[in-house]
Amino acid sequence: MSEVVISPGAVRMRRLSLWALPAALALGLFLHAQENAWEWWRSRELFAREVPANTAANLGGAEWKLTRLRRVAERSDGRAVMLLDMEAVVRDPDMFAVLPCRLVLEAPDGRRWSPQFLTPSEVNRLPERRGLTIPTCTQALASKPAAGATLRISEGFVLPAGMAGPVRPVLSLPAGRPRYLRFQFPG
Amino acid sequence: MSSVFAKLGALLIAALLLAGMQRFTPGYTEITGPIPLKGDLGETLAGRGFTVRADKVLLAETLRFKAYGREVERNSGGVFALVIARLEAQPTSTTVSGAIWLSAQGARFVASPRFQGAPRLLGTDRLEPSLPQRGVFIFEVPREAVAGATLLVAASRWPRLDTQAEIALPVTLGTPAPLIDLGELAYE
Repeated sequence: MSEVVISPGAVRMRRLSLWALPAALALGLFLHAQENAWEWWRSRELFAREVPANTAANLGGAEWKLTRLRRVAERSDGRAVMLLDMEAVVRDPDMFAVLPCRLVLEAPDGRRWSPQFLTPSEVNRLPERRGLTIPTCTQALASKPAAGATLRISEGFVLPAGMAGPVRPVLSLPAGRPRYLRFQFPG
Repeated sequence: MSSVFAKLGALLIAALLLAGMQRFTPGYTEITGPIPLKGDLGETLAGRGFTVRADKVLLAETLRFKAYGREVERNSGGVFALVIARLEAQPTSTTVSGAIWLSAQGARFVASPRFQGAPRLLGTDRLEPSLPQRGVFIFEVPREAVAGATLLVAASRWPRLDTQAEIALPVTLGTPAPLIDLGELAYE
C-alpha cells in the first residue's frame, strides 16, 4: 500500500469545508424556521408600553384611550361584574382592521381575565347605556371604520369580588405585536 | 489481521448503535405530544393554564336533569360515569374541553354530548383565574370500561406540547345507581 499524498490546497479545502458545515447547518435551520420564528414574534406580547392616565397611545393603526373601568354589579356567587370603556381614533384603517383584538384585565401578579358576554340585565341598568349598542373591541375592528373615525368600545369582565390590588386593562393587536399597551388609572 | 478485526468491530458497534437509535428514538408525534401530569383522586394538579382536582366518581344507569325549562331523562346501554371535579384557569382565562375517560383496556371516551344544557357541566364554559368551577364531567361507557380507568383532562382533546392531567380513578366503583338527578348532586 503506497501512502496517498494530499496537496496542501486540498487539506485547506477540507478544513474550510469542515468549518463551513456548522454555518451551513445554522443557515439551513434559520431558513427553515424563519416563517415560524416570525409567526412567534408577531403573536407574542413582549414589550409593554405603559400608558399614563388620561393620555392616548398609538397601537395597531389607532390611538387608544382608557375612558373608564368600573364595577357595575355583584353576582350572588361573589363575582364582580366590571365594565371597561375605551375610545379609539382610527389613523390607519387597513392596519386597524386586522383581527382579533386582545383586551384583557391584568392583576399585578400576572393573572389575566378575558372579556365575557354579560347578561343584558347587568348592563342595561346603567342609564347612559339604555338603547345604545356599544361594540366590543373585535366588533369595532371588524366594522372597518374610515380614517379619523372615533369609536367607543366597551367590554364586560367577571372577576372575583374581593380582588386584592388593582387590575389594569391591557390591549394587544395583531398589527401592533410584539408591542402592547398597559393602561394606568389616575392617582 | 488485528486491524481488520478492529474495523469489523467498529462497523458492528456502529450498526448496533444505529439499530438502537432506530428502535428507541421517539417519533415526532410522541415528542410533540401531551405533557403528562399524573395524580390521584382528591389531589390538585396544576398544569400550564389550569388546575384540576377530581373528587368523586359516581356511576348511574339513568340521569335526570333540567335543561331549558324541561325535565330530561337519559339512560344508556352501558353506564354513565360521573366525575365531580374542580377546575380553575391559571394564570389567564382559558377553556378546558379535552376531558377523556381512558379505560384500562386503552379505549378513550370523550365527555358525552347528550347533556347539553345540564347544570354545572364542566368543559363547556370558559374558566377564569381565581374563579374555580365545581361541576361534573359525564361519560357514557360500557360496563367493562369502568374498572381501573384514568381521567384525562386537557385544554383540547389532542393536546400538543401542553399539559394533560392524568388522574387515576378507583379500581372498583361499586354498582351503578339506578337514577341520579344532576340537580341534586352535592358538588361542594
